[in-house]
Amino acid sequence: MNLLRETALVAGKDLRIEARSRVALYQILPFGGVVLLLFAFALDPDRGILPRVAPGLFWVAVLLAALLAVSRSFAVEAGNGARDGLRLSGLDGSSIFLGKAAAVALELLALEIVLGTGVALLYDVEVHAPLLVGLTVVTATVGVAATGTLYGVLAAGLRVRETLVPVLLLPVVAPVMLGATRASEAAVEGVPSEGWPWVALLALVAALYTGMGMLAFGPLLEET
Amino acid sequence: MSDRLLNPRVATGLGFASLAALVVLAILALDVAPPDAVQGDAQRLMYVHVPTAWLAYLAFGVTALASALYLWPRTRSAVWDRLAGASAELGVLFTGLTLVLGSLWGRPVWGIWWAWDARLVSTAVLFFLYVGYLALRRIPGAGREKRCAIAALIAVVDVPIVHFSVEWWRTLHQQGTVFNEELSAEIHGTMAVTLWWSVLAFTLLYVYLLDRRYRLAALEAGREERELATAIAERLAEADPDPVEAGAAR
Amino acid sequence: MTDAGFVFAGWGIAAAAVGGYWLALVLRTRRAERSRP
Repeated sequence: MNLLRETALVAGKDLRIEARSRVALYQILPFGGVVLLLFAFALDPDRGILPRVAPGLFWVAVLLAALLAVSRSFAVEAGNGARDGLRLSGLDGSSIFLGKAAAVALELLALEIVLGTGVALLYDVEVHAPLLVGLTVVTATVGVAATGTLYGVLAAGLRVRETLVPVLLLPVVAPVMLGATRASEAAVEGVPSEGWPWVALLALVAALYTGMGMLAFGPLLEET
Repeated sequence: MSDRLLNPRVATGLGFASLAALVVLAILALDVAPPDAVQGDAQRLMYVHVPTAWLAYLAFGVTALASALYLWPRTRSAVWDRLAGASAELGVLFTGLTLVLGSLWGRPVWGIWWAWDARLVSTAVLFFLYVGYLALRRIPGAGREKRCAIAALIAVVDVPIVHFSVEWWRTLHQQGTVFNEELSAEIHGTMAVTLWWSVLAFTLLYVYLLDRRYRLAALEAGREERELATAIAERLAEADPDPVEAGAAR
Repeated sequence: MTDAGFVFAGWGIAAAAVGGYWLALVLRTRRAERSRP
């Protein structure tokens, strides 16, 4: 089977599991929403700070939700020898990586659409450059999903997985945070020309970590 | 000679050499070198802050290189894994010091304990990358070396990206040129010599400490193996129905 | 604190950190060597 078909197979599996268990819908999405609410409690809405910091807060909420999404992505294979099944399936390590990362990315994209709407409404933010926002969201999400999936498999068999992945992942996706926030701010402030260079950086990071994931996922899966 | 990096006499010599070099540095930095025209005496912290920053990145580079060598099948060896771990520990030490010293330097010169300038922020991220790596190293189990090696490589790829993106971010938001005066353009004479000497002295110290830390790692690995072998022997002895064995479990 | 105070604090912390780490290495090495047969 070729790379694309295998990827679709694995992504389809993960998404089907989500469709049936609805964990992202009923747990991760509300988590993101609550985080946005907590930011409002922390930053007193009456002081006019929220609209200014909205892009940053949005991406922090997305990042925290991504931690949960990645954790979930590997939790679904933790029982019943499912990971052994994956190893023995004959699927190429890169395809499994792409499939799982794609599933996480799609879940995050859906989450971002909902949270983004929430931010625009709750924090009173107007977005001026939809293309910029769209590409920012896509490249940042791919970057986070790829890096998260890579660390997810690295920690997959370990008992400390849930506390380990965050501390490993967050420093590495700091540039994604930076780029996504700056690009989003440019969109909100109506100066998209300042945002495009950041999108280029996000695309570079996404490509880089997707590539690394494709290389390292197979060997790491063997070790779990 | 996989239980140490340097010949014992070389190592001891290096230890003394680096100590001597550091004493000379202290004299140069605190007495001989003139105070800075703009920053005054506070600038003398540069002579520790710059070399510790250099070591922070050097140590990480060594960790990354050793990790790559471990992963490459033809050069795979426990030596590289141990070297990577030893260098990472030194890296955390010097990265932490860089941050603290940067803070102590910033306070008298710019009136602030912390500055969101590219170098400090990148170093802070580097610190967390290291800490995560060390946390990963503590987790035992099969495949530990491979896991850690891959994690180190993922992290090292990130270092220039972080550096570049933070640098870019800060130059776009440049508050003033104050942070550009960190190393005055006219650094020459005694100050330049002292700075180069500081880099040399600290590099000697790094190599000496690296060898020591590596040696400790090799010793502790050996001890773990012996303790495991002893425990296994004890368990087997319990099962042995030899009547001469006093205290054997019935 | 005067400028000199910051300088000495910095150098002092650096010396203490490096010296302390070195001492810890020495002690741990000795303990590991002692357990050798």
